[in-house]
Amino acid sequence: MVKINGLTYNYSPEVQLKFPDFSLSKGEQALILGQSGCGKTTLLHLLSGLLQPNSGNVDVENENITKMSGARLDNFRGANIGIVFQTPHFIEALTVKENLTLTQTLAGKTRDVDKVKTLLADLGVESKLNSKLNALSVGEKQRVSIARALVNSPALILADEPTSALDDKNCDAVLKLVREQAKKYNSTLLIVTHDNRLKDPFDKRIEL
Amino acid sequence: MNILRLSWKNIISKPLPSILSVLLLAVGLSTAIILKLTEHQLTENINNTGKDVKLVIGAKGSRLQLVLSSVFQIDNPTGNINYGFYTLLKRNRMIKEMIPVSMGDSYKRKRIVGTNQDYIRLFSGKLKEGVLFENPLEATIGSVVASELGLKVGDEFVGGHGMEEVLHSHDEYKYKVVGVLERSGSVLDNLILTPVQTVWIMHAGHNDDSEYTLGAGDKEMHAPEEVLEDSLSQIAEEHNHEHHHHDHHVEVNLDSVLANIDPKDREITAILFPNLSGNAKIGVLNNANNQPSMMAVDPAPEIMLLKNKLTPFVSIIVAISWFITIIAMFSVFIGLLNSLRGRKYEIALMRVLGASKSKVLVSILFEGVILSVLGYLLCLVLSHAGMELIGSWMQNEYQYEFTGWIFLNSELTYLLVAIAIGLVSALIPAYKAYNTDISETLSK
Repeated sequence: MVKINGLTYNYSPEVQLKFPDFSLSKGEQALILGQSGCGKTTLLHLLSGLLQPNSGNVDVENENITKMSGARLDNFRGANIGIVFQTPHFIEALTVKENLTLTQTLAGKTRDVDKVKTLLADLGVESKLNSKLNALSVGEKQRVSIARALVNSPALILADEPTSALDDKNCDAVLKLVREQAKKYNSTLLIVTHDNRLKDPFDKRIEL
Repeated sequence: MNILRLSWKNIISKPLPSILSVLLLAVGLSTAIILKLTEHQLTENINNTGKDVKLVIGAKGSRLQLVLSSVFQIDNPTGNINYGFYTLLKRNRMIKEMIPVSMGDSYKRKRIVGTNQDYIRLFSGKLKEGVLFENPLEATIGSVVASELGLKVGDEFVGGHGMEEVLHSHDEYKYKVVGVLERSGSVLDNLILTPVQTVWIMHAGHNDDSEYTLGAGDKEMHAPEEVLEDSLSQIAEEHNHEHHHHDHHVEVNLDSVLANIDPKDREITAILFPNLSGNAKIGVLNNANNQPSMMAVDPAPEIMLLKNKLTPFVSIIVAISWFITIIAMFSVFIGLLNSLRGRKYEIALMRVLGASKSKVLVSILFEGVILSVLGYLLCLVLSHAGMELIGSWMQNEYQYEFTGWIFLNSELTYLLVAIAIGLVSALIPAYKAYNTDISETLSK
């Protein structure tokens, strides 16, 4: 389902990053651990096709995304990969609902408000449906960003330090939610973190 | 949520810079459109009024002034000519139509023109109520005169000498409104029309103290001081004898008053010739130009000359409107650039969510186009309301009705201009968004 092999990325001739090979099957949940600066975010960008590797392959849903480019890659990413960022960002001019329906249409899917409502309810932020993003707390924003990563039922969910900006209480809740939801939609989940608070058992732990 | 709506939401989420851009664009474009509307109506009016007058005869002076005063009713007359010349030409069989006009009096800033009924026909005037003037002291008034001064058939009023400021009033005789004309969009709307004889009756005994006689060859010229002195003493005299006037009004035999007017005091300002061409035109032209105190003028080249004189002013206004429009373009450009600087992460986010580079490009171009179309729509409101406002002011100055409620096809081309401005000013910001390095932006 997700497979990388021989993946390298050169920031400059002096700074070269080499990533260990691994593969995840459908619905598997994995943790990638490593100190800051070891290339966690770079790996995530390579996995989502935001960066092109210098060598190696990334297969998602049996498609080698390093061979894709342009609009095809953007489309594939929108439809198959959901990303939760460390600090949640949104289109500030839009409401929660509009941000989520935009995510559906940008990925080429049909607008489905019911799905948006179900997701927000599952994540405990259904009351924020028509709120502007700047009216939400950081914890609420992170829940909405999980909803956004899930709204297109992607095959792969990538989470980049999703809990590092949250307090302990929110950290546990958000982690629990993202795992539950990934399971619900049978999405493969890959969390990149250096957060020591994530002690739950994962199917796989990969050290960088 | 499609791209167009996203662009719209982005615009309204930052209302102040958006409003500034829209406003600047609207002001720039409406200046240009007001100019077009004015030019269009002015040309139409000039053509409507001027096209049927092939020749004007009046007192010697500025040729343009003669045309403006006697055809367009704008400027002051050049002087007077003797009615005898009119009757002389009347015997000429080659001249089918000629219309005398006599100006110099007014009522509440509306010009009183002594003429014949052909004058109304010349501008295709139609009666709304009442009848056309026939006898001295009868007046048929234009629609604007009727509505602005609240005059109706049967009303009486006292006219005054002078066209801008009344030097003294002719309160021995009263005009009587016998008819009101329909709105025609021509000079008729703003005029009070009466037989030429009315003017003579009004001026019987007043001739020597008026500047009315200036330029008339068979009259002696007055020094300005003398005229003023005479006018002042006249006013003083009238003031002293005011209470007597009521007695004078009781019994007036107009025919005997008219009969007592010396033929050399029977004057008119000008003669208009519709439908005059070929040899007849040349004949009249030569005849008039041979008179020591007269001249004959073909209005068409004079109007052309006037238009040429106005060209530099029009060019300046056009330049100003373009200047404002270009500033508006920069405002849209800087506004978009600023707004995008804050939205760099959002652009990267859109790409992560599946938007292609070109979709991002289009969304920014849309923002420019939406702003410019809004600017255009506001400019339509501003320009037509502004034209209506300017029109009401110009009507008093030029005796023509200018309206804001006409639409020209050329206004649609300004929509294209506006869209082009929106696209051009959004081009660089859109290209920047197009080239956003997503990975780098998201890592910050």
